[in-house]
Amino acid sequence: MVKDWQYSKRNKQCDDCDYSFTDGEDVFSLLRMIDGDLQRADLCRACFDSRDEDADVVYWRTTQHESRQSLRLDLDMLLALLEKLLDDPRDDRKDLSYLLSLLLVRHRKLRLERVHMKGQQEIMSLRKTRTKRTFAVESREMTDERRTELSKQLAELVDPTRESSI
Amino acid sequence: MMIEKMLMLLMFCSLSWSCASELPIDDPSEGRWKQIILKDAPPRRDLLLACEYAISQAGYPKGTTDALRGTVFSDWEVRLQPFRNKGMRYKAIFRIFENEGNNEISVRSRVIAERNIEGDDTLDASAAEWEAVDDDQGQSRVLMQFLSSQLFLRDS
Repeated sequence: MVKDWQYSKRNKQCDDCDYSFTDGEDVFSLLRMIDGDLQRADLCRACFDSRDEDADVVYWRTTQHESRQSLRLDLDMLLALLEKLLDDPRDDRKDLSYLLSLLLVRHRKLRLERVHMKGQQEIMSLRKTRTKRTFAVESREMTDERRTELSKQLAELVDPTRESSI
Repeated sequence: MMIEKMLMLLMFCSLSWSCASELPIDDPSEGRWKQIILKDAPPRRDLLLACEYAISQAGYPKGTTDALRGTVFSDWEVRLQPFRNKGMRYKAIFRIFENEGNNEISVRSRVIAERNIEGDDTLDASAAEWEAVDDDQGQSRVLMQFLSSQLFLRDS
């Protein structure tokens, strides 16, 4: 069963400076990779403007509402995230792209059509179900520890039942 | 007479040796296998279920599972073609190996391929005559990625 995903509940404070958001204020939410760790952060405008952009994976702007539940994230958003990651040649982004694409295959958002070799590298050819849109994703060799850690972080970010401390 | 008897015995011995040397299709020394090694593997029963699910996701018909041996077989996936030697059938296999020494588990996958050499009734599966060809390594890689999608993101 395909279910909606949601990120971990947004804190009511800026993750970098502990500034408390007021109702109706702009909040900049982002996924970033710091030292190979995937993190979700909610930042005030000042911290967002002064952040290290190199660490960004994806970001979006929302508004703080006292009554609003955590932001819902569906599989289409994960697919958009994957698309963005595929443009990034850095190894940690490629690791994340690989796991994200497996997640989307598992939830039948992507269809794994074939796996071919490009030199020594395995490349997965994926197609968005019921469309002709295709993606080529590197199959990454990761240590068990790295894979487990990244999978755990990904699960914490998207599991609808989990509240992450991030 | 004695020579005839010896020849018969020799033939019998060579026949029984050739039968005994035919390895089962899930033997790791037969065919071309792809392998992943898991340090933090789920329980064996869950692993077998994940293999079964991966086979199903990859589009193979449900086959059999030998839990004792740790092998999951699909049934044959038959793709008939109107031309001789073009029709194919495929069988996917997963086998689990436990290495108790270092607590690791390796899972291997193999996709056996055979082609239809029947010349006339090329579109009749019951008339097909199958001849073994090299394992399909591309499909084996696909199979392993489907399994990875089950195992690497167990919590998601």
